Amino acid sequence: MLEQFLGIESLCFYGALGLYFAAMVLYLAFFLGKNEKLGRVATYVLWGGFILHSLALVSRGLGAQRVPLSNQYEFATSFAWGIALVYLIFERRYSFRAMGAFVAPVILLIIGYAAMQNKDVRPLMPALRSLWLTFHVATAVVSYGAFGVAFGVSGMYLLRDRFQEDDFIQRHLPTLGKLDMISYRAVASGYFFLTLVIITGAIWAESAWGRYWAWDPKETWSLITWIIYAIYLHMRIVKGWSGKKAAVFALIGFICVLFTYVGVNTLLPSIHSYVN
Amino acid sequence: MGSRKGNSPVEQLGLGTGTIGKKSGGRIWGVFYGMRSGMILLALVAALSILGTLIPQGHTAEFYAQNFSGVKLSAIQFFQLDRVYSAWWYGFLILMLSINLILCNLRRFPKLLKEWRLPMVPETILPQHGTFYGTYTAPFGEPPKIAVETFFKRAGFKSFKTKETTDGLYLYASRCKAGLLGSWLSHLGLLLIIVFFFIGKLLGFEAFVYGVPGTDQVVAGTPYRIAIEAFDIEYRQDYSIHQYLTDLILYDPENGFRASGRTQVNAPFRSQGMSIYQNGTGWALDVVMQKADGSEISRTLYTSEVFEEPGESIALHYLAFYPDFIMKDGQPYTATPFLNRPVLLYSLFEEGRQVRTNVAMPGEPIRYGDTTFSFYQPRLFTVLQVVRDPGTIPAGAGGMLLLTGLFLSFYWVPKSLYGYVGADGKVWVSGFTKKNPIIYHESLSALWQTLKMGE
Repeated sequence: MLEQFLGIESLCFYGALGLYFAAMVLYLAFFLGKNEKLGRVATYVLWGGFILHSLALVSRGLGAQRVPLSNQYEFATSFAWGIALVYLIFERRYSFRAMGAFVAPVILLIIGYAAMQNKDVRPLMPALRSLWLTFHVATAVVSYGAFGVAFGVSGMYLLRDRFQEDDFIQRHLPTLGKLDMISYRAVASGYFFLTLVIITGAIWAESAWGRYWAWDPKETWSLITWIIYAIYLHMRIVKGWSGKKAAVFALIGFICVLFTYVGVNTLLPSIHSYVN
Repeated sequence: MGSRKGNSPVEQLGLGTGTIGKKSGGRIWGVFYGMRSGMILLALVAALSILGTLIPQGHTAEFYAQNFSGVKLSAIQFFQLDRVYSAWWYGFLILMLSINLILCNLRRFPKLLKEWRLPMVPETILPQHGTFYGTYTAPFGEPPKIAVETFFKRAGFKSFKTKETTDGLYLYASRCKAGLLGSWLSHLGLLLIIVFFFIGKLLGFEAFVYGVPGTDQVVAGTPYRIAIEAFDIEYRQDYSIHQYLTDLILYDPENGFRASGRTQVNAPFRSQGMSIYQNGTGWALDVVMQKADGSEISRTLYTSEVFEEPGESIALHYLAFYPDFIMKDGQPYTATPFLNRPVLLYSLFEEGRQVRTNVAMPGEPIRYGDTTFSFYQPRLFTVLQVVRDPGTIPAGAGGMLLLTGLFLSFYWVPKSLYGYVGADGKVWVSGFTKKNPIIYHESLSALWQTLKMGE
């Protein structure tokens, strides 16, 4: 049974990866080639990839008989799924397809990383057998997904700011004010969920390891990321930071997110390293 | 159709975003409560926290002497970089941050209260302060008053206040007022987390006890003892571990308190304000030392322990235990977690000098000179972690406050809507919000167009 589900998962996963790649190419063709029809097709293709990706996650969950959020592969693929989800919500809400040209590469980068990980389904060690794991990692997926979208939108902001004379960019990219606002909203959502990630992680750590905070490198880097985005949010108020400065800050924040996720697991000794 | 810049009662009272944290106090005091200094402190905490992730923390002085040298070693020793998060300068930064949070919240509270109590005063909302959407014209349907009321309802303001004056009709509504508290609550939550984290560290304790079933251990620093009743490991078919379980009795021999229960990973045993966690396991062995004079001494040896006796020159160091010993690629290994072919890996020391490293089976004599060691009855022991942290629950409450505050800040944004219907049929509607006013204005404009209330 497990093999059958994993077979379906594998098909859907690589199907999703292929569709995400196609969507990225289409979004870029739409954006660079100034072809609006390609943009519409890109959205449909991304939706197709997202549906296949969701099926892959469900298949893995059914096969493993648990929520598929317990190792590096599972988190990476869920991370990419989270970015796709948040992006599709934002595209629908703000009707700016050009965002796809900036966010789809991030999705592809993360799912590509997932594809390189070991996909074996292994039984969970006792510490991971907790309902808090599901909350902790699921909130991380949404949080990182939102930060990924903020990263893409901030990249868009910087591009639009640089090419202010370009007609197509002016027509197809939201105004600078709107891009700034979308980025802010994505960061705000990501920040709220990151706080949830840290709090659910602390509750889980208290019941599994006897302390809710122990300055483990993963915990510390999550705190550093949280502080960076806290500074971003406060500077918008205290110094009226918006626009270019805020966009650069959102880019730095996401680099920090990626380091917390990939760098800490691979470069630093951490109690969280068992997710490998 | 035209528009004018909004001027809400909030702005008229000087409570807009621009006033927070800018007034009063000298520059020196401003360092303690200013948002800017708060940000600098946060940035410093983040930057210095990185050091603690790059330099191994909490090791012995010898460890740092072996792994670092020169300037790096001196810096580690001088700046206490081997324990960044408990270094005096890190504590000082956190203290300053806490003071900043306290003062910032205290200063903001009266303003917040004033804003919260802001009355709905239609007289202060003059038509020219609102966004003028157009002259109402009859062909589009309802009378102006009904049309504006419809607008309010469609904009999500089901209930609103009205006031009839000689100038015309004023309407006012607000929602999500609790959102005003968001930022304040989140700062309070963060402060509680920091304060109770340190209170927990100061007033709490952590101790480890270990033993085989049937033994009784003291919880260091408390009057309590733990009797280990049973210990078991549940395995899956592939020998991976499903769960570790310890049945125990916590008791106080002085006052007769007694509580029994089970602790397992992710489900600690809690009693008397203490939590007892299943922390680890290993193999314990009964080791017998036969001296030159034929006398015997026996004791239970736990992983990594050394069997040494005063006056004896030979000592046995328990290095590792393999319950189902095999050699694989020249390395000792255990095929299963069960006692099929138990083997002890040991080292012998003479006068502190290592003289032999080898393996032995149960009962097999390990002879060196006139001394003989042998081991029997290998069995699993359990390691329990006993924690009392009085800060956990209040810090958790702080976490909930922080989350609530963030939710209110981001998703419960206070909005107000003002309307005016002039005697001549002119209609003004104005919305005010501090967060994302562009979006709010756009949504109101779109709604206006949908309702075809203007020309």
